[in-house]
Amino acid sequence: MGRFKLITKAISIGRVTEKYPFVPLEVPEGFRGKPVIDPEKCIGCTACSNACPPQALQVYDDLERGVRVVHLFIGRCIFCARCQDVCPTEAIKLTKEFELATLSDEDLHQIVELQMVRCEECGKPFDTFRHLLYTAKELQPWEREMMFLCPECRAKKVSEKLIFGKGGGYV
Amino acid sequence: MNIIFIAINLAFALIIAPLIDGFERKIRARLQNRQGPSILQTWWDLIKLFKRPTIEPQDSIKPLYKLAPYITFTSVLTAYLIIPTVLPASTNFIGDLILVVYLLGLATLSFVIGAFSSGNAYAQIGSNRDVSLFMSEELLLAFIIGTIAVIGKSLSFDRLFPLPFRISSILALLLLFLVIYVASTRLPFDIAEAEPEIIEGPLIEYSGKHLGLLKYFVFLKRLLLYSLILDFIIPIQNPIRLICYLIGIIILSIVYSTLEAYYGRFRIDQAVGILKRASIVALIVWMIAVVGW
Amino acid sequence: MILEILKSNNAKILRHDEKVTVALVPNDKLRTTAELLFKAGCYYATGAGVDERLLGVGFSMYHIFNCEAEGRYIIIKAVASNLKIPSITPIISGTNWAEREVMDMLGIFFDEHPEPVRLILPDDWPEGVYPLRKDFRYNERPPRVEFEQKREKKPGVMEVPVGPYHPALHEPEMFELYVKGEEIVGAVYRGFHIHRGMEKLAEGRMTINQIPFLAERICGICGYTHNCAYVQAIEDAAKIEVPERALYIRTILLELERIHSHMLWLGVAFHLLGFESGFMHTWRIRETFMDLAELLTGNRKTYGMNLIGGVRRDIDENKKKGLSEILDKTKKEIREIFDNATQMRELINRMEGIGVLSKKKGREIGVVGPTARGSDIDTDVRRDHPYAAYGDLEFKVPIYKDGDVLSRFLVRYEEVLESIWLIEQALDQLPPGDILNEEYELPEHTICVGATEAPRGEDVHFAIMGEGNKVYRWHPRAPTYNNLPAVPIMLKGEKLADAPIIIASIDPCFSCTDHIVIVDGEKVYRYSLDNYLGGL
Repeated sequence: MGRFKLITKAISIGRVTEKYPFVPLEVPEGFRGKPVIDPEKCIGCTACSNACPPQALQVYDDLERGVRVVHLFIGRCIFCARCQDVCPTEAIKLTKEFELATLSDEDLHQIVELQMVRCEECGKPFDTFRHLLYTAKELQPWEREMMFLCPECRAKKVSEKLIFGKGGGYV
Repeated sequence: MNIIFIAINLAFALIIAPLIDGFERKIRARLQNRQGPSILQTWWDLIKLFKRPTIEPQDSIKPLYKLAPYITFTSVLTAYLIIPTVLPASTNFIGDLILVVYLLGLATLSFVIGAFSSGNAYAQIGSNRDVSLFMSEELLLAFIIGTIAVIGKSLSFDRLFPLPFRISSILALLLLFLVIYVASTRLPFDIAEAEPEIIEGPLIEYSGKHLGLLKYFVFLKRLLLYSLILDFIIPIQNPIRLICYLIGIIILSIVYSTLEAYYGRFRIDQAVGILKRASIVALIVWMIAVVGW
Repeated sequence: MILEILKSNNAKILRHDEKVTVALVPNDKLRTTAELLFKAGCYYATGAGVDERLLGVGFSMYHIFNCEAEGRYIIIKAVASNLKIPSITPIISGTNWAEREVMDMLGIFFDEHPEPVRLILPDDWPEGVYPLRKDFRYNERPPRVEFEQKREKKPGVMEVPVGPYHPALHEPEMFELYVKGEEIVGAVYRGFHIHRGMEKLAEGRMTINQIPFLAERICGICGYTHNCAYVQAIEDAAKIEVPERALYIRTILLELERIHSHMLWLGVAFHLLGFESGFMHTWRIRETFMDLAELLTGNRKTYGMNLIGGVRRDIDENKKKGLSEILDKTKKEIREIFDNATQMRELINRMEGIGVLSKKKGREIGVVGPTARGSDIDTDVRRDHPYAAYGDLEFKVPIYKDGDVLSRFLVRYEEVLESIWLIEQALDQLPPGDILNEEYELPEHTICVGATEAPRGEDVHFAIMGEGNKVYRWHPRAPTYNNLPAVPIMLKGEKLADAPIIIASIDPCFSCTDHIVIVDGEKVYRYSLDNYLGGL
């Protein structure tokens, strides 16, 4: 008898599969889909690339052109949303988009290029403008004068100051 | 005139057989809460298979392997000359009942031989199963044929369509209903093909056109057997025969595909056991027919 | 008791607390210690070899025993002298694979091992290259070597390959069945085709908080339980206090995962028995649980929820309400489907008395999870080593005595209902508070172990902490690793038609088992049809 109960059960329920590719599929709030970087908000701080487990997000400096490249390759992405968690400016967000199949490899890459600041001393690009501005808020007044120095030149300057004792309270 | 009608019957069978499978797929989908493919899907599948190149496995006995699908296919087509489908026209002669049984046997045998000659282990296991199933099915069929011949007092179809209304003829048709179910390789009797167990068994090495022919053969065989059982029931010269026939096909499709959707597969020994028991019943029915009930 | 055994064998206790005991055992006492532990009721969970040369020790082997009676894991460490350690396989057959794995991966030789042949590395891997040694880079690819295919042909027996590609196996693995007529006279398992080199990757490239996301990808079905086991191992090492709310959320997700995994298996079982409609009914219900997972975690799978110290997403009142509503509805439906399906005689006939595994044999091999519970072995990590919130919740551990496929089927069915009950309790008692504790310090070189009850059984993660936000060694052991050696025993003497359901009855997860190794993925076995048809 079990068999007939199952048959009647199936008939009473009707179709449960959806005509999927022909009708859109709803996803709930908080769905972790394709990550998208907002180029306006990104400051190039590299927090996301440090957190990204599969290295789908990579940040590298193109020293010749003086730009920092934030490179997102969705082919490697595991949609864990760690980048979204760690981003200080909410520049990277996971959207609800999940239909990512494509014929062209290019659709899977998102590249954001950020202008870098050149060091006042050695002329080497060392940080993005936006990141420098972002951190500037938290700088002590006496640190501001060395803002436009790359870390190496800054270290040199600091040690010079310490040696010659001219520093503004830098101990 | 008769020849044209037979040609129409044949054309009907060739076109409709895959459509019936498409219809059954739709019904099974309905019973499994699925959308299911379109009714035409079986046709698309066949067309695709016929377009694809065929590959012969290295270890096969090539002439046998290549010939088998054609023999299988033509033997079932030949049977359509004898059994009327949509129009009541057929070539008839004394003993054509036996010929149909042999044609179906030939189809199965060449199917099995083709599988054996493919040289694949799964195909051989599948053919082994096919043969043991065929044997026990054949025994049951022989008893049913005997019963039917006794009831109609003839070995020719034109005297047997339709069967007179008797207890034994009803019982014989019920048994025929079971044999047809088994012969049309459906769950739970699709043991020879059993996809999760032995990967479509006899069909495993076949590809392209050959695979298409063998699949087509299965659909044609199903329709042939449907027609056979319906011909035994519907009066042959009745004006509304055509409508009865089409309704009959639809009813059989629905019943068979419902059973198929809600049964688990038997093991070969279980299936053979069931058929043996059915054979004993058939023997008793034969006795009843001889007595004249 | 355990301490006495260890001390009587001159063992040096390295760590002893509530959950874990680590002891260094001298090589000449290793076998007696293992034997005494086994007799005391501890079964062999897993073993991991470690290249400790960077720590100034050399090569060592860690045998991990699960002592259910005391609710602790016992880790026996043995240091190889001259790359040799006595094998304990002659005493406990369950160590066979673990020791062979270490032989392959680290080149430690086990004296008197009955079967010292390759288990994991493919035939075309060069001799003397050991991928888990620390001087082997994680992205290195050694050149292929030519090899001879050695195969014996047995007269009168047909070899039937089930795999590497077979519709009954949903992953590439291979069972060679030796068949006479329809009867299986012997079976050999050839596995480890899916090698992803995860251990090496984790040790070589990833930081401690990235590994959870790698760990959960060990398995496509029970990923979250691997994630939890890893996170628990690290939390155990660093003594991190995990907020209680996080523990409850973990419990809910683990049970959700168990339900969907068991429903998947039950559906597949119906499919293998040819009952397609049962498959569709089961998967229809499973889909609601997938939707629940999507609601709670943001993805269909329970991925990406854990960090060390807690979980990443909270369950708010809205989700809580939706969850309990759906659970109420589906609970009734699950009963309806399975109570009706188990009335279908042909399904029961094909599972009853098939693929029997005896309790004694099961214990020797160390089978876990539903496979063990179907064979009258009363084991469940949730009860024996309470983790997450299981200590506060009540549940029943279903045990069946027959050891056949039907027992395993029924164990899983009952566990689904228990899991629903567990989620209901956890939702009821969900405590308020934080969900993530990020203030912790990581110790160095601590040996730790984390275990969870995955849907397929005990899942053990062994780890040694490294320096600077890294692990020195991480060895996950999936439940299927312990269950697979039992399959050839179950298969023997059965009909070929029953092989798929028997293989499936342990709910094998081959990728889980294989994750461990780094091997050239393009390797192709040169099997030809000639080989297959040997005896015919």
